[in-house]
Amino acid sequence: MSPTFLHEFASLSSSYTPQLVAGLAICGAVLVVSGDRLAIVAFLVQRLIVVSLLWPSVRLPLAAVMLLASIAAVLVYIVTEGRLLIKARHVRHTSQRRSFLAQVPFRALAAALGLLVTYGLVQGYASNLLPLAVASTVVSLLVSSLVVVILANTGLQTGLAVQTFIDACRVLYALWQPDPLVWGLWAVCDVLVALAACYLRKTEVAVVERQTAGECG
Amino acid sequence: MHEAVYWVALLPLAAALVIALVRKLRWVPVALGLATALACLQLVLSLPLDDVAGFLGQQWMLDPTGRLLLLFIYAATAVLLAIAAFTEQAESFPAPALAGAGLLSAVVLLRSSILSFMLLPVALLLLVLTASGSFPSAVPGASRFLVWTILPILCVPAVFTLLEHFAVLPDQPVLAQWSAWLTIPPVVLWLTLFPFDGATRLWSRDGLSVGPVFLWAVKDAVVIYLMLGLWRQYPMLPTENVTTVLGIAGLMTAVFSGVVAVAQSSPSGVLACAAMSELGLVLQGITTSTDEGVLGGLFLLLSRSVAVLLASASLAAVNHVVARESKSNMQSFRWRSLLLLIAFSLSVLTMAGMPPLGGFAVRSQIYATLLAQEPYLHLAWLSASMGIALGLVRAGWSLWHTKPRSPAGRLHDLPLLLVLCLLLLCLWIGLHPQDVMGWISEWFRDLLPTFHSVSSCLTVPCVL
Repeated sequence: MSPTFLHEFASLSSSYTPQLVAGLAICGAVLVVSGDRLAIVAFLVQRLIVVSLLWPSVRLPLAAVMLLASIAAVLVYIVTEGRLLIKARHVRHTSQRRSFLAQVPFRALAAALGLLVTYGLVQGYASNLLPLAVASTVVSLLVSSLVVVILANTGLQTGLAVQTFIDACRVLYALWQPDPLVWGLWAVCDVLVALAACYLRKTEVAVVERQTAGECG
Repeated sequence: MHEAVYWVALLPLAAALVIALVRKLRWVPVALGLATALACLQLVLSLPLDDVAGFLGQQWMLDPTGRLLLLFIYAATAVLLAIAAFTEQAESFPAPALAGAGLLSAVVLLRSSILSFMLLPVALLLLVLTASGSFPSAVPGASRFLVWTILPILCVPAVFTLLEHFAVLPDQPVLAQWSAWLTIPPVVLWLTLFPFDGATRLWSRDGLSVGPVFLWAVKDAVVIYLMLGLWRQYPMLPTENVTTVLGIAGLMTAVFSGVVAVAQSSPSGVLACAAMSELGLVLQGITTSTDEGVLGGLFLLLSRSVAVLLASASLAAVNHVVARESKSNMQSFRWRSLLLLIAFSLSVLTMAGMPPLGGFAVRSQIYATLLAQEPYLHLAWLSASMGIALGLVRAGWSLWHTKPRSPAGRLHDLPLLLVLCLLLLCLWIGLHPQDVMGWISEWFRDLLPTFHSVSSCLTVPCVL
């Protein structure tokens, strides 16, 4: 990567912190409301925002490790969803799509509630303990991960929620002097969570197909 | 030779990678897995003790307690690989189980406590990959377990950072107190104590899933080993408040899981409840802050692990046996089914603490060390035991009337042989509790923590 690009990336968080934090909250809301495929995109954007916010604190090597782990995790998700999409074209899953669309209003309400809770916690408590930007980031990530895991109906959504929670922990940990070894292990955890979530997603689909075949047979 | 200590961790990881590539070849994954487990057993026995080796910038060492734990890990993994073969989980189980065993070995061998604690959730994440599509409830159970595993991830670096600061500033006891409190979430979540105990119960609700069995038999032993090792290294951590909270969590797990066993409709569900109930008692023993209580808890942990393996082997053998009996003469007595039923019942009753099995004698010892004169504790334990026994009655009935799901394979009586070996071991442990306790006190004396309060640590310098 060119030094100019890195310099611009490093200055991004200091210049546009409020916008980045707001973007984080929006990504959290999209994670709650959307289905698996859009949620992967929202997760990627969220992760890039977190990396740019952490860049001044953890510097290049640790931030690069986090970025690489994020890209690896997202690739795992994309490959898995791509394969399931190809399979789904042969087997109709319209009933699943209809049931998800029916949940969207409820999920939108849950996302709105999550944003409200985030605002309340930041204004009421977190800003007394931490700088406002850090408090907003951490609380936004924690609340969105909690809402997503409560509403998760696939293993992939559970995995995204877990990784969002890990991001909140990372932001807090970056306030200390982060140990590179611990940071690296967390990056490994990231990729493993993605693998586990994708495995659970594939297994879920296999179970549904088996049940459908049993009903038809 | 002293450089080979880290191969105990690397070999199963490499084997797991190979097995993942060939997992669809029927018997190859199990055969490779068994060969790897046996090779690791041999390696552990041949390695020198207390010899530090450097690898990847870390220090690796095998101490006597670690050797026993590693032997148990790989012996249990070998048994579970056989069970996976009997239950048609040979595709999903071997690779993640071996990788998990390799990482758990690294957890035991590394001298850096923080690294051991950080590697543990990584190993547990891999075990999520053992969830089999044959059981619909395995996926939500494994998803919950995935969440519980990651939740305490910030507590580990926080604990060690606070301990480092306490070493520099010993006149600030609040640092030690906070680090003590922060050890509770990882222990509760990684052991899936109440109210998180439903994860493995859900995972095994629909049938015998070998992944949760690995967690009960192997993972719990490693977590307790790590906890006791940490308490020994930092005596200011097991404060009275912390041990009380963990003891209460153990009691609630023991009672709740035991009572819920009544509502289980499947034998694997009853096994899950019995395993978690016994784990609650193990933790109660360990948190009594006495050597007798800790030894009692370790005895229950050992007998529980063997009982869980025996029960799982019995359930794994059921379909083979029933299929064979249905093919053969219908008039002959179903002695194989009866043997399996007896084996399963004995294993569950061991975990329920029924006399004359070992769990009963050791419960009395733990009760005495708790000095609990109130009857509620005895009643609480009794209700858990009765719940497990009633659940066993329902499970036994459904086991006896199991219909074969698939034709009898060519394994003949191999599953029964495994059941018989484990049954003999379980009975021996149960009928010789004092001998086993004596051996445990000798083997694990280096692991027994010294229970101090934080205030005493201010006067006695604590070397970190």
